[in-house]
Amino acid sequence: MKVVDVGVHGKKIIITVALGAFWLLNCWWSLLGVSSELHQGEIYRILYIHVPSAVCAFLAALLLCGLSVYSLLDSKGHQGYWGRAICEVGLLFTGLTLVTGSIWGKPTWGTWWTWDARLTTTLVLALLYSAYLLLHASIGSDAFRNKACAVFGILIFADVPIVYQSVSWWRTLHQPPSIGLSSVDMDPEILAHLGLSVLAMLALALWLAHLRASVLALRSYLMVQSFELALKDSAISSDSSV
Amino acid sequence: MKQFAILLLLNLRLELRGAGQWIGSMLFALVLLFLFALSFATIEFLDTTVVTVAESFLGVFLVLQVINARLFVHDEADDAQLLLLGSAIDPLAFYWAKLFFASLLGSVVMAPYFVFMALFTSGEPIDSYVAGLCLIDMLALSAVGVLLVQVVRRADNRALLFPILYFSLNIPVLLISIQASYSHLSGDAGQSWRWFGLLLSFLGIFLALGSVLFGEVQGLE
Repeated sequence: MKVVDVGVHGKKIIITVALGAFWLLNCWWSLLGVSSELHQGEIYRILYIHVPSAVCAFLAALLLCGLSVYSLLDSKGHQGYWGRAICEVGLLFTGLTLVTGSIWGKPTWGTWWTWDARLTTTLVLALLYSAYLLLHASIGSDAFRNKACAVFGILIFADVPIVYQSVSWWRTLHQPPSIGLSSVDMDPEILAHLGLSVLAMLALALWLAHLRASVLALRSYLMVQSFELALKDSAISSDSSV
Repeated sequence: MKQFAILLLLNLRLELRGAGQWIGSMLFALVLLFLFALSFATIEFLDTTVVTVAESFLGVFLVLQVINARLFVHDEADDAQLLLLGSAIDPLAFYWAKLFFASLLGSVVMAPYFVFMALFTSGEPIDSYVAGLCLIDMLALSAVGVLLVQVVRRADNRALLFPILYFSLNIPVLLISIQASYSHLSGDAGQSWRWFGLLLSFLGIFLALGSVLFGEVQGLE
């Protein structure tokens, strides 16, 4: 039975090339296409990685929650691979958010790290993703692991509003959101390019999650096959000895 | 409701059956006090408010961490979990019984702890608002704790895994409680009630998720 498509064929190559081209275009525009910012100079360009990474980190939690609910409703599916893949991608982008934020923080705030509400709650999100992966790795039984991870995946999402709202609810060094529901406090050129960067990062995140889920499915499939092969071998050897 | 009451009484009877358990709770409260006194006493620039708030919520967290770690000890000892799975006991009643059991045990430790804290450190009884927040925290942390104990029950390294999951999920609740306490103690009533509302929302979310999800992980063997 083919669980997840794992072959390397034309469609995958086309998607990879298209995504690569989109990314190259995005990088070129981020570094050279957009003019520098008045107060921060060139360092502000890290915005085009920092903000999209944060968006991907939050959306990964939302996707994980949705998948977890679906997994509890339909336990026969293969959401386990996807859950782990999304969580790994979420952790990757949360880490990227923290690292780029830290690099940005040094010249603007004068420090790499401070126990500020936004930074702390983002670190908590990274801790939650790590905890999910640890839980996934610690339970042997597939059925129970999927249920346990699904429950934890839903609980993770309960903490996301705190991370998102931390800049509004606490007095913090981190600036409040520039893009609100009613108003946008950002140069239109920067805003347009930020939108493109978010799209590029989201496409990359989804593609990474898909590839990772395929690898996990393939690994599981190979394990089952090798186990069945070993059983067959042992049966043949016991027959011949008789 | 009847199942909930019977389970809760059974758990309490098993846990608090001898005088040793009560004395143990008192000693645990004293140990906590010593621990915090040793940690904070030498830091001169900290004011009493900061220390009291930090000690209160860290106390709740540590107490529940210990209680949760041995929440199903009695059930596992006599295979009651297996019996429960085979019987008609509602997972919801089981969850709420464990939740109240953990909160009550937490209160049994925290009540003497606050008395000792008033006697030995500040000299004043704890602020009733902060005590109320501790009680809400106790329920919120237990709501997550009981669910997580069930989630990690079959994990290889559950002794290590549980504190990691438990701590990361509860940080927001602790942060909100601390903010609510500071706002209240500094006289900003409006802000303190806003934080209080947020804390209640978290309690509601955790209770709802716990009630819905507990059966999912309990019924699967």
